[in-house]
Amino acid sequence: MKIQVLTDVLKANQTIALENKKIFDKNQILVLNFMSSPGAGKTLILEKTIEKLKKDFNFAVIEGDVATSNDAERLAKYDIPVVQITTESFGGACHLDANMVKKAMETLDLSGVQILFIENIGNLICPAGFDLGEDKKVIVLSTTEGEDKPSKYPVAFRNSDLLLINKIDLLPHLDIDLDLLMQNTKKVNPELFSIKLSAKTEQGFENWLDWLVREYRSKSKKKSSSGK
Amino acid sequence: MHEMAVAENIIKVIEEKLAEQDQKGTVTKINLKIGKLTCVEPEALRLSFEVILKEPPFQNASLIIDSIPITGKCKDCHKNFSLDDLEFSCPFCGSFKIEIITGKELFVESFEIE
Repeated sequence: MKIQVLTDVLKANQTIALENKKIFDKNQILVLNFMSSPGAGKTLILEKTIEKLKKDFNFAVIEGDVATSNDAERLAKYDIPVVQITTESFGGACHLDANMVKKAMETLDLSGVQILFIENIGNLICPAGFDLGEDKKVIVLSTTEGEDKPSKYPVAFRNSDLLLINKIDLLPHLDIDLDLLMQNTKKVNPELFSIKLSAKTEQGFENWLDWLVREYRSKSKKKSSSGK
Repeated sequence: MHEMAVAENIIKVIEEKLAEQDQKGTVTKINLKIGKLTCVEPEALRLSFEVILKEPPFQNASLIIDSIPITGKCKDCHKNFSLDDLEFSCPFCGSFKIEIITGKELFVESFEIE
């Protein structure tokens, strides 16, 4: 006997992602989902961002890794709420899903938080398929990874809202063709806004901070006007 | 490997449907529609199923995967086209303003029991 189903396999994830989003919106929290390959520099970008904007904004971080809490420890020194998700307990999954974020929120004090960073697991494939309830997806690509990553991992680049090209301090030592990288990016996502920076030397870093502050303001403005 | 998570979700969808219709029996076939923009690798999905489909009522289930190509429509010249080369621009007029029509599907179409 044949039974018709026509059910979206990721519906359960989408449903929880929408619930998460409602909680974030209600609390006026800007939520960014950070994706990249392992070692692209996500954690250092977050460290520097928090260091520079800590006076003006209340941050919180959800850290995703398969194992270890090394990254959470790096961020805990800023005295902000940090929750580490290690997916070992979820079968070693290579991505965060909406339910893991929901669970993390139970132990995270969100009161007063204005900006929440979710650092996804270093992987350019799986995280792109799972919404977490975030406002924007940020993809970090380091200059050492070459110019063909957008062509190789089109879904991650296609689904992102901002591209941070990190480690530009290394450009003199590399053969990467940045123009070609931008062309490849444009082919998969013509609307993807990009910022070149170095988290280490802080070159170009203010452009990213400007973007972040703009996004936060635009979200809180939207909320206050829709709340009337 | 997120195919494992996808496989587990597929099982959940079928179990819910069986409970909803109060059906019992052995699942013999699972028909899936998977778009090429979902990053689900059919072979990895099959492997995940081999690992988790050992328990009844799934132990004899075979997986039929219908791969759905990526197609789009140009918002400028309104033509339809295939996007299998993953270049997201209109092959007719070069416009980047395109709408994805198919390729994002990831659903259980139906399954069979006996």
